[in-house]
Amino acid sequence: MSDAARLPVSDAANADTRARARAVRGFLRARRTRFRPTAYQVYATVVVGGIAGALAGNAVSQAIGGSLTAHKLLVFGPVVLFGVLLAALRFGTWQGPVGFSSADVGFLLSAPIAIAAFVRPKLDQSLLLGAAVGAAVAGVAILLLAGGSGSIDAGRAVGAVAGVTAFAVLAVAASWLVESSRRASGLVRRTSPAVLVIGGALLAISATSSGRSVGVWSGPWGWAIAPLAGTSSLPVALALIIVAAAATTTIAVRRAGAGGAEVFLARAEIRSGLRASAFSLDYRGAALTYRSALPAGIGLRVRVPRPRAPRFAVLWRDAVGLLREPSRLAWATLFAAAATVEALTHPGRAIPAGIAAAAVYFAAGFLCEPLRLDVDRPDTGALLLSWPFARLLLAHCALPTLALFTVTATAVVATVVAGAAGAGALALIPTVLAPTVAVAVLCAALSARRGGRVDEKLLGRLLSLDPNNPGGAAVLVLWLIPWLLATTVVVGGAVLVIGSAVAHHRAVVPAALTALALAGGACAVLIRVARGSERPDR
Amino acid sequence: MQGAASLAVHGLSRRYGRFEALRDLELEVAPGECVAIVGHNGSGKTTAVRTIAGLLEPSAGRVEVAGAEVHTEPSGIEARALMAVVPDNPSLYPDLTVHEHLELVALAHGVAGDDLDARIDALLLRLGLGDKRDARPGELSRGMRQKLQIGCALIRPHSLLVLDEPVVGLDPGSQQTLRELLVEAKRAGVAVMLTTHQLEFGRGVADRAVVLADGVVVADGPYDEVVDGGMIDGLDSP
Repeated sequence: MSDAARLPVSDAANADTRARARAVRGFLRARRTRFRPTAYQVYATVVVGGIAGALAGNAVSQAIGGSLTAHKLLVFGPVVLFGVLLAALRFGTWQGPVGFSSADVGFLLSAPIAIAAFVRPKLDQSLLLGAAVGAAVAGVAILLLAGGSGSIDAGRAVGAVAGVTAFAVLAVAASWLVESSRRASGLVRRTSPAVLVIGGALLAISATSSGRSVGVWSGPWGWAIAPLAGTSSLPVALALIIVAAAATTTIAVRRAGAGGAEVFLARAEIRSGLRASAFSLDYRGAALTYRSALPAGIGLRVRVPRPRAPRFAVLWRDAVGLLREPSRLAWATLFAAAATVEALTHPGRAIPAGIAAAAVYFAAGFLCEPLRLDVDRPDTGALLLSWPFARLLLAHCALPTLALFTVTATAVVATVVAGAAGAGALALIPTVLAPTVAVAVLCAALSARRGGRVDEKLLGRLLSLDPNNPGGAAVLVLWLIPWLLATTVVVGGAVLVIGSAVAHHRAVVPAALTALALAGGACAVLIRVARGSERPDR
Repeated sequence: MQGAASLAVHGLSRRYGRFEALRDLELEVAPGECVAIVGHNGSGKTTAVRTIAGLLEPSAGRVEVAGAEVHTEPSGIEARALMAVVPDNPSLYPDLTVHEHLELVALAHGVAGDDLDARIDALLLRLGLGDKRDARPGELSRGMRQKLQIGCALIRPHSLLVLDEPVVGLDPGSQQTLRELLVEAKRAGVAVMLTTHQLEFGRGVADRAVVLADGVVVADGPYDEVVDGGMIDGLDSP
């Protein structure tokens, strides 16, 4: 010990740190246990990937109404890429393209070596991976385009690959810029809902416009699509996306030393928390870990007057919770409004109806967070409010139902005013809307009741089955998402029934009555199930 | 470096959102001195150690190791060369053996020499890990992992040793060994800063005690006087 302490530290400090970083990385690489998949694992991955790919391709094909064309690329492409960029920025707020393990932070980042020497190789790898994924996506799009609308010339194909690849590199670089800056992380988190609304508006505008060009004002998401869609602004757009990607990458590389140990340690802890939750199939635990990772959002310090009647206690508590964390309301509004517009603008189509129903369920999930908190700590909840759990659960549904009804009704009016749906849609507000929204909220509340952890007996039974038995996995999936499925069937069914009548010019009143009966009946059943709920024992 | 304190902390504060975990900490540790930071759970000890070690960014203030600022580059590189840290929660590589962990530290800190293997083995023997040379972390108990972290801190050059709850998980014999190692370090001119709940461990090792409560220093003085003076009621002995 004393020998080590007496070593001339200046020697260590003056050594070639880059060479030492390389040596350390080589040392770790040589001793890392490599993952070698068995032939069966490769086979199973290919089969499952093929089936999932075919299903996804079919869903995309239905969503865009047939094969890929240049016009559809101009309508959907920029919005999809806009969403990809936003997702990359959001990813940077809690993980990002550069990650270290807790051990890396303790052993490598505390060594007298510039942090950039360890960050740079990981950043380079992520940029390369992004470029490869971008090129692959562009390649698939070119094949789909050539299959759907005839040939595509070589120059345009090269431009398309370059454009989407440059966009992918830009997304990775931007994600690192967010990861390495606490201020940027906070900004991205706070502005995400508003940015998504703008993206939705852009989609609505581009879907209704007859233009086939992407202007230079359209941003990187438009520039990247221009070569693929073969617009007249191709050369300018291609140059702009390449310059934007190069500039962002240069800044990102220069900031390679910006992420401190704290950034990486927090992300490593989140990753290990998520991994632990995944292994125990505890998706509530995973959600809490994810939420703890995000920088603090805006919390309103507004006081809500305390109600005199005890029966309003939960309503008051939920309102206070929503004001303290208004981002939940923002996300719920976004999901519910998008679902309404999707359902009204694609009447009579099963997949849009299902997507809309799922979106309303997720919107309700955001608003049911106080119930989840009560379930997380049932003892605390029981101490604070000695109501039977069933009453507590139903009381927690009041504010979400009211909020979602207001949002969806407003979205119906806005869609009608914008001319995207007929005036007859307004009749939905006093009739079918309330029970369908209530179904989604009740399903979300009944899901929240379980706490998000797979029942131990069920898990034991599943694990005792043959691991290659796909039946076990199917049971598990059904256990995990029964309430999402129930919402999709009931709400999606109601939307589909009315939408089919509208799309095929059949009488709407009988369809509306059928939808009303479906949603109302489901509501009654769900309330009965909720009344039988007992406080979870966790 | 001559004349400068090994560790100098000036106005160090750290916030988590609206919560201020550490407020305006002033602290100096001279070469050959050992300072123990004591306090109840949530008093800010671990935040203080993590911020001093560079694992957390300060909200305000600065930390210098022999005049080199910890939280800025490139002076942070120099500070990291001088400061060895033993964290409260050992994070080890599951793929590496005990011996390889020490090799890695030596490599990362530029420690070389033909006798490196022999020095590693001697240190492992001293720490009671001689028979665990080729074991991986999964085969080690909590206490053994803690001893390995201590070994990783000691094998590399340092003039400041920072230990966060170093005795957690250690049996009495290992605690005694650690005490002897720290006394030897002090004799060699190394400054030592540690946090502990176990006040008895500090006797004979720590020269000063700094008591933290709600992130603020409420007492600072000779270890025995502070501990015996009832300024830290409720903290226990092992």
